[in-house]
Amino acid sequence: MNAINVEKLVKRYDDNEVLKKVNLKIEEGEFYALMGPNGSGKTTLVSIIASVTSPTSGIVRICEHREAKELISYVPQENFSSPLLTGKENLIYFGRLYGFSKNEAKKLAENILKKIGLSEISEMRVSNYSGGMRKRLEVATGFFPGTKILILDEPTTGLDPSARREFFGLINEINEEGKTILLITHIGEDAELASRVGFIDEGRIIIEDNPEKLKKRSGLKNVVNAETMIKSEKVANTLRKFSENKKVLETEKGYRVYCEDPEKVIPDIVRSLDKIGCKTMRIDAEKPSLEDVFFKLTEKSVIS
Amino acid sequence: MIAAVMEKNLKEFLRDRVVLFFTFAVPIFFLLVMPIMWGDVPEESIPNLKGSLSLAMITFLIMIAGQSDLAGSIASDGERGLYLKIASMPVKPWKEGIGRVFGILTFSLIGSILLLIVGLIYGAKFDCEFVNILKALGFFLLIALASTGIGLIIASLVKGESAATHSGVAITLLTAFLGGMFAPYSMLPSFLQVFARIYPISSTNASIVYLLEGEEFAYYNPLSLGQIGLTIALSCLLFALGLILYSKLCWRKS
Repeated sequence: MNAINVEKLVKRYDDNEVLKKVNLKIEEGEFYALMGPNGSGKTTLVSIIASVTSPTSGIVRICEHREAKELISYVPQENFSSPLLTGKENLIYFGRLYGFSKNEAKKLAENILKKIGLSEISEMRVSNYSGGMRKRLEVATGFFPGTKILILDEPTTGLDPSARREFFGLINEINEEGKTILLITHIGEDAELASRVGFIDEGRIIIEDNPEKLKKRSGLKNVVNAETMIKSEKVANTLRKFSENKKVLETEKGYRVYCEDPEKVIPDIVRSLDKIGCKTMRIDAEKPSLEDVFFKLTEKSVIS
Repeated sequence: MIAAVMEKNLKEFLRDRVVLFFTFAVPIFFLLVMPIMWGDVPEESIPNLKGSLSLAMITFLIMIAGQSDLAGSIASDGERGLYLKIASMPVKPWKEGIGRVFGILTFSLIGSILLLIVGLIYGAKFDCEFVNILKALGFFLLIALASTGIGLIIASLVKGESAATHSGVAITLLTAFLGGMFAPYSMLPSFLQVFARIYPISSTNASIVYLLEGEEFAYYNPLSLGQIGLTIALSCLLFALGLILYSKLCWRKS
């Protein structure tokens, strides 16, 4: 059975069509990641699925129902837990909103807090939690019995690598319980953990497959990741000469160059950059990431 | 669900030092300081005047709680994305709104009892029968209804915690002064006397003073059928309008 079934979904804000007849099917128990740059329509799509926003036209079915709020746990980007309440009080509050009695919600909250490793600080106010702990607490609202789908909108924004790892450990546990996960992200590393990834761009899902197949389908073999002292059009043009498709992806610290045999071109790249007065801080060969695949398909950076 | 929202909001109010100070300490400060400024007041009237001032400060406290604390709390929850979360849950907006109102009612009740104790220790005196106390409680509920209605309207129209809180404080201070809660009704210019009779919170406050201290301290009889009818109608209207706007605008599906 499909946990989420979206058919010909359109969302228009005045003349701006944010979603253009989007179709999406996610099976029960699947971990699906939707990846796209800012403004691609991914948040709009999930907020419609979560019943927070109304569509202009189209159909959304949750486990075959037209509206089934009790089956969804939506975790928006923002930290919605109350900083003045303790972790336990926050969970009890959300449990009661799901319809559990105070005692039931209390017991469930205690179990959930144990499960997510926050029981020792459950009586501490959320204002004293780290960003990672707070996000785990908010995601834990997906552990309440009855919810079948967990929708996460950019959940790892602002988390350090260790908190991210812990966070995805928790997501895997939720997924192993049989719950469907829909993850919205622009971080390839996060999306790679999903069983299926969809790329969304300009209001359309352009491709979907499992992460490895997506990489194979892109035809990309290797990537040279060059961290440069400066970033400029001149540096980019120099690097383009070494890229198979004559395109380079700009990253936070430099550029990614696409080539078949990186070992061969790396010395030439360093020499060419030296010639134009750009120092290479670090250069190495890598396997292509989902960000690279997205760039290959759309010629856009997913992080932009 | 209503109880869950009520408990959450009550705990938040009681744990927020700024909210506690402005809601509880400011009316107590006025209660303690204003009698010092009274000039040629006959000695025998002072206990009753302190009584009527205590009642006015309870009204003022309910106004701050309903119009400023409630609006600020809703705006703060909106800013940190709580409505995105609960809009995706099986929660009815009006029920959540009622839960918030109950939170304010309980918070105001705690503050009112505290203020009343301070007033009594300070020498406030009430000349009334038990039945009038019950009637006064009903009128206090009416003040809470109108104040929370205004608070919900502010929260629906003003975005941002700081802006909503300050709008609530400004409206509270302005209407409290114009409605004669800080000055005797008899001292108000005639156009403000009209305002004090029409504005449901000031006319309800006058009704409470009338019931618990007598006409001498209320300066007019606010318990005429027409006056009470108007006050109840306007209070209910403000509350209903607030709840409708809150359900439509704070929970709006764009």
